[in-house]
Amino acid sequence: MSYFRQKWFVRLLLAVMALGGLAWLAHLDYNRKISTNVLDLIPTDERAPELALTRELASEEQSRVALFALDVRGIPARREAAVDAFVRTLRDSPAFDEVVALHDTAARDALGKQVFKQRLDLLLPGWLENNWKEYSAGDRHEPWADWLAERVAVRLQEYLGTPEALAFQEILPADPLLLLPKLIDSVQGLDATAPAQGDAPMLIWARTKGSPWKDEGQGPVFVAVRQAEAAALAAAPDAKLRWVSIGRIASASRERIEHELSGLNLLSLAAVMGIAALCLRRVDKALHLAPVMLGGLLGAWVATTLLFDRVHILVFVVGSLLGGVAVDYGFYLYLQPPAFPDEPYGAKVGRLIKPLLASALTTVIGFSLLLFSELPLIRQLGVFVSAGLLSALATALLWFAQVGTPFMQTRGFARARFTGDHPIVRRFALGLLLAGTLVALGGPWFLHWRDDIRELEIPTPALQTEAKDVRTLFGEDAQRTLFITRGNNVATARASLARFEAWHAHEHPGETLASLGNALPTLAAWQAVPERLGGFDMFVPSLRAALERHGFEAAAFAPFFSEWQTWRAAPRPEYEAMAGSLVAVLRGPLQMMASVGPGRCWFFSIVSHPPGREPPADTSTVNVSGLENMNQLFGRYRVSALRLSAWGLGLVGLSMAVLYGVWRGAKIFALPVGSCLFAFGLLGLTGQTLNLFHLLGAFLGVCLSHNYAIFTAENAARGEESPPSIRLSALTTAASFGILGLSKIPVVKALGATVALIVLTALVAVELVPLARRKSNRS
Amino acid sequence: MIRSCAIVIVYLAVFAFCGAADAPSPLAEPGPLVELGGAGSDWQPLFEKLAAQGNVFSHFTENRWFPFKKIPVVLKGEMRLAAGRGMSLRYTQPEDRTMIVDERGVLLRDDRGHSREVPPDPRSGNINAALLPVLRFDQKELGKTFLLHAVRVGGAWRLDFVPRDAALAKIVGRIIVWGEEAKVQQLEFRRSNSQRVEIIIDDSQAGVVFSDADQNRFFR
Repeated sequence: MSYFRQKWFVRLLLAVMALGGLAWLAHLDYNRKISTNVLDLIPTDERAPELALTRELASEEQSRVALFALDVRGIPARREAAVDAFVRTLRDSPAFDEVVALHDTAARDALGKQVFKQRLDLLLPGWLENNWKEYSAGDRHEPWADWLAERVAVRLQEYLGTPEALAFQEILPADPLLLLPKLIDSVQGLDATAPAQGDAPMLIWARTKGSPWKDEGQGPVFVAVRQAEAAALAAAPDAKLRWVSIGRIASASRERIEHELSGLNLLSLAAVMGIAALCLRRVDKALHLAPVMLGGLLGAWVATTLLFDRVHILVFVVGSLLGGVAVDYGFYLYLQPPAFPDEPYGAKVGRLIKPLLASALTTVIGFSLLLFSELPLIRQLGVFVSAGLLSALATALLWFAQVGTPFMQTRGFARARFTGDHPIVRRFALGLLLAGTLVALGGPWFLHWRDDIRELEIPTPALQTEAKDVRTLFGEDAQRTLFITRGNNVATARASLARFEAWHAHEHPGETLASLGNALPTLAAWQAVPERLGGFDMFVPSLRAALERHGFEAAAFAPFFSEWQTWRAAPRPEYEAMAGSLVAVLRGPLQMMASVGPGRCWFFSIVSHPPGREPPADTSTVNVSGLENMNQLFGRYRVSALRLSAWGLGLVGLSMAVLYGVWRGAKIFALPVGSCLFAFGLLGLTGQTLNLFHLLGAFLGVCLSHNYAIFTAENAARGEESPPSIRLSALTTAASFGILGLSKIPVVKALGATVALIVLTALVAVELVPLARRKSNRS
Repeated sequence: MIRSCAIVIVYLAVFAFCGAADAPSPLAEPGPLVELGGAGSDWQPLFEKLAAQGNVFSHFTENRWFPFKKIPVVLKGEMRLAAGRGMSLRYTQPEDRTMIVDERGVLLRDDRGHSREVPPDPRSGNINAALLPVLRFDQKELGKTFLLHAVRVGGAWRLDFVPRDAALAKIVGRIIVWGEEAKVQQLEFRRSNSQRVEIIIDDSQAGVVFSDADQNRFFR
């Protein structure tokens, strides 16, 4: 093939590849493809089922809750008018499924009525079981029915001496067993119903129809809230609304992340091109490096969106750094002078292909290992970087094949070397290397690790302050902890709750635990009812007699005796159906407290103390207060990523040993590993707290600095100085990653700073080592 | 329903303002309607004296009458009223329990020191806001929530506070205070003849100083 035809063939190939990639990207539905949901960072098949359920709950149920606090001053009628207008407008909006003013007691009353109606089915089994245990532990000389009747009368007498008794006196004739008063004790604190006191804000709870992570759960909700606010203002012009919803925070975060994405990508490209233009002899020729970067980015986007159904936006934010890495192959090809005048491009490539492939493939191998990570974000990053680097290498090889003169000289200062041999310089270089070694060996011992899921998002302080205020008004309190207990069906969930309650009573004596699950009997207690009531016909006359003996008017308890007879004569409902009919009446905030759907049964519990030790696994219960469990989860993934990175590094080291021999491979490998240890040492000595993203940054930094070691070794083998491309590569990489250090997303900042530190360390080491050994080489 | 409990509990706090009394002498029937806070009212001096008593410590006996019980349930205890900190009722019989009523609501504390807050009832608004003025004999605030019937025979007097709000009236009933001169002798929360709570003040000291230990134990 003639050079001319070859050139046009390459151009055609490049055009086809670019158009194919762009066409693929153009047809994507980005709203569906790109996620900003922090919870999408957690695997859907998370191996701990409680965490999977927590994720599902947070994503599907709790995240749809919007909380509103409406401040209206003045007379109650004016306040009520404003709240009514607000609530009515929200209810009329198709964006909301349910809207409840918290001073409205309808939901609570409905639950109370249902529990009262079902009290013998719901509460009697547990009551019977507890009494049976007590009876069995005694001498049992008295018949069970007589013993129980006496206990009922004694307990009722005792109960009347408590402050609570006055509140329940109306229902005691129908409930002398005290089933309901005892239940109230164990569910107190679940209900967020709040009185409309004085000038205190009016509180409104609502559930949106759409997921807050998607557009339908954001835009229409915001419109409805604005309309409702306007309606409230029409009724009370000084009304002030504060509100919080996941959708509101997610929308603000998404907006800021998208802004960052475009800003960082542009800045990164500009920085890389700027450094190239500064160091290259002809600025216009530096533009030949742009296709390499763009090709790398295009390949990365295409591969990632092809392989993953849904990609987290952080991948693209972090991926903006790829430009600084991808340009390396352009530097290595473009800045390498021809071995002889008019050296054909094919010969030049043949000369450079080994170090090019060694550097690219070892990095790719390393990042490919991240595909085995449990965390989707890490898998996606692995594909993004690997595909990006391969695309950049392919683009560089093709691009310079169709360029007339595939060589560009750097300016003098970019390839300047210190040529003197002063002992001071040598000692200085040795001193620096020694100090660096000490930092690398000692500093990492001072490292602290901590992962916080909140660092994955851009903080929105004003919104978060407002959210905290509103949640406090709704009773969120650092002194209380929320737990979720799950099970595949009602029976297993209720049994787990019983185990959790027993554990909690032992672990936190004296602290209260409120759960709607207490309104349901355990399956064991439910099944034991026929046995406990066997031969129980004497209970009613025994109870009448006992009540009379203790000074009660037995006739006043006619409502109970009548219901008792009816209940005993009626067929018993199915256990699951009984639970279903109770949960079916839950409305508003109470609805979040329990679910008995097939395969997704849970009970929330609120305890009266801050979070402590996690409950044991057999309770199927996890703390869902705050983000602690997510942070622990991320901590676990960091350990997993560390293991994978170690394997990746091992493979990179092994490939060096295979390609360059053990001793030379070890020397090459020492540079990236040493640079990484130095960076960690420095971070440790400066008291930085590291997270999963520092680790990922370190892995990337090691792979990049590894390239410098390879090219330095290749040149050294030919008796040449390190090529200027290393300087340019390190500087552009440091610039593009340094720009990530400007990110407002803490983890992106961590990643950028780590990589920049490692590549700069590697560059300094590459420059210092020849200075330090110059005299000894001579001697 | 636990919220309703709070409401009734708070009523018990009303006897905080009680002064010492030798023996109760209840007047049988309520008096005529009296304007609360009216300037130059005959009742103004009594309200002012009752409001100015400062810290109070009393022993009391409480008789609870239920429609399904032939005889009342009897409780005994100590009452502490501290200016600015609210009211503390320590029941000593039948079991040791303390109830604290203040601006923040109602708190129950058992003999081991474990506390439990009783949340307010939305249906009746802020019951504390309604009843704290009774503790303080704050005529201006009382007038917003209650109608007053008052009668006096010699030095003895009877005040009937009738809630204006129907929901509050349903839960509280009528609050009746009997006394002589500037001393409260008996209180009653009456929903009906068979549903009522009588509180008889056995002795009382006004202007007492509570130690720090007492303040921590009996208030929050």
